[in-house]
Amino acid sequence: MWRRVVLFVLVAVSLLSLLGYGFTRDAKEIPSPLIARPAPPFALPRLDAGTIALESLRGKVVFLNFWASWCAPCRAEAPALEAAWLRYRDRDVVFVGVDIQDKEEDARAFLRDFRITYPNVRDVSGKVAIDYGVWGIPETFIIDRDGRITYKHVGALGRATITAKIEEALRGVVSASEGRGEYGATR
Amino acid sequence: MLALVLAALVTSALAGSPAEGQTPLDDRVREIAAALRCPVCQNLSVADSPSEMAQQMRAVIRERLEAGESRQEVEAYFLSKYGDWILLAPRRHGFNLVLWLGPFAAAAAGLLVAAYLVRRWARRRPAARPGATDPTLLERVRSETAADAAPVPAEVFAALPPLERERARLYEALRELAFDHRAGKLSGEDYEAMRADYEARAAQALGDLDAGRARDRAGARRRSRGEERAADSESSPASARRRPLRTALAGGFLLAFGVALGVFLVQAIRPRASSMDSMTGDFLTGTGPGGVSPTLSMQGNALERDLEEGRAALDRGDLRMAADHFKGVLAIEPDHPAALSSLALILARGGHTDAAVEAVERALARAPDDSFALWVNGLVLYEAKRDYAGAIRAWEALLEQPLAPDDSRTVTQMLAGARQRLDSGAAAAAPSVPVPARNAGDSRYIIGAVLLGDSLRAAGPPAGTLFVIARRGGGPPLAVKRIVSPQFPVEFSLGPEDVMVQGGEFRGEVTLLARLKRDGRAGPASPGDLEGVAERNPIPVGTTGVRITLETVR
Repeated sequence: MWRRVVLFVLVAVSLLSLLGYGFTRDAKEIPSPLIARPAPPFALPRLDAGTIALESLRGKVVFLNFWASWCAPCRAEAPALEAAWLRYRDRDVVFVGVDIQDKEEDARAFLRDFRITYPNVRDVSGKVAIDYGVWGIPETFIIDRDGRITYKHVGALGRATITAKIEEALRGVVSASEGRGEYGATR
Repeated sequence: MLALVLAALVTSALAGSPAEGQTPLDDRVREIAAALRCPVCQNLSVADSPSEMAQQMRAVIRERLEAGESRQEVEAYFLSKYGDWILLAPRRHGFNLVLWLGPFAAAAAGLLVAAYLVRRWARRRPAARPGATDPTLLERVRSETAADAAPVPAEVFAALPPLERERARLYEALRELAFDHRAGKLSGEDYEAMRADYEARAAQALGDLDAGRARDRAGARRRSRGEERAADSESSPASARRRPLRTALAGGFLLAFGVALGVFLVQAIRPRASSMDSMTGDFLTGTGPGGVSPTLSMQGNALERDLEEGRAALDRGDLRMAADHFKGVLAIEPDHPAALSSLALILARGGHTDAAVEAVERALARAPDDSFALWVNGLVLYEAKRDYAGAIRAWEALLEQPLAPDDSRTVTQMLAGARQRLDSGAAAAAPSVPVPARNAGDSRYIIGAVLLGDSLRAAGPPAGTLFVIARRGGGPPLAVKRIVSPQFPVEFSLGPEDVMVQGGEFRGEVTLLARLKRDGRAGPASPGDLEGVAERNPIPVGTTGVRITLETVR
């Protein structure tokens, strides 16, 4: 008799907790397997002139930011990114913006509007974005001096996170998990 | 001829099939794409999604296949970038096994339970019909049908309990059968077969009736709810005792399930704010209400707190603290009307009249009907600027807003005061315009005054914002000076800090234009705006004493 009750409660609790677990998950979130892995190399044309190859930035901490002009959270974080760039430009840190799924003139207008001074490249085919497993936008990867991804952030970044994660990357510290802020889906 | 046509058709058909655009490579791309989940969509494969991302992914698949990679290698590439998430069919290991085996296990368990229940019922059914053809009952049926030959009247029949009615119906049928047989309508064989059937059923009904009476005699209160269940409870009294507990457990589970479902559904699912928003979210997934991230809603809280504390500080008279809090609000939301208005009040008290006017005008540009902004606008114009006409306009607009009676009375009193001051020769008390002496003699500036034309002066002091605009040639404005609520004649200086164009230098010759915008917003002239050009355009930078007279009405 009591065995039946215990059995029933066990089954009910396990079913309910499975249901509860399902509710706690955001089906759209794609956890990245890239943290602590070597950053996929790329060479892309800059929006102004020339090309940037990731290989050439070895030895510096790279703040790699995927964005698009139509993405609202990208606009939200743009001033913070430029401010951080001005703070870190003399400390062996390079900011690189990667414009994806965008029109060239819109991208230029975006850079003009926010007076972005760090280099920006265009990924027209989307190959580099796929190489980095991009699914939300903006997405930011911080790469340490050895070319290893130490942190990934999906969504808009704030000053505090940028500072903390760049400092960590400068010391070669790899984050345990990725971060999340307000983001939009890619198209 | 016909053969030729046929041959042509066949060859064209043969040539046509690969020309559809479906090459073997296309098929392989599709095959791989169909197994990958589109990162942007809700449950669409990369093959089926029209999104840009999926298109680019298909291009990557194609390229890798063309480079000679196998299907496994292409899939491994996507797995290394997006993890297991990218596979539409989860891999069969670890926790994923629950997904794969769970449904089968559940189905098997359900079948087992169903089989067990069916077997239990099947075992009980025969026991519930004791002695279907009990000979003593059959005997009773025969004697009773022979005895009361008269059919039961309809109203009596209707009033009988169900089992009695069944018995009466069967007896009637047996009598009719006998009648038909005697009348020669039924063969002897048929009659025997049918009679045996009816008699068996009548005997069954009699047996049930007896059992029912026995129960009644035993004092069981239960009404006959159907034979099997009655018999069931009789045969195993233990199960009767267990039932309330089981019912309670089942009810409890249902209740818990319903509550959990209700709570979680309401909390976790919301209308999607946009196509980019996720349907699940809020406290469970860490995204705030409406898809706003917790950082943003935290900022919202910080904003509210700053606003609250700023107001408290303002009430205490701690202007510095209040200003800090309102600046905190503006750092989060640069055009927050209440914060801007409060800051304007503080600025005006600190003697920064122009900055105060500018702040409150920014608040009004964002929220033209904001009561507090209108009130502050009037106060700043009245007390700091002594622009009674402007204050009257602001407060008149304020009175059109829904106000508490007390507030409404205060505003009316202030309005009356402003009108009185305006009437009592405000013109005579018009303050002389401060000369921007700090830039006098500096060759990087153009210094001068904007005057009101004679024809316009008659209409009274015009309201609005004055823009003094310098252009080089016919190009866009090089430099602009903005003067809020000007008192004519108004002095101005234009210099490097007024340059609008990034990297533009304020030197050489420029043409000057002054425009009084009624709506106070920068931009082209709208009807009702006043305009005038400098008397000697173009003007070299470094000139002083430039005169611009507003003469034209747009």
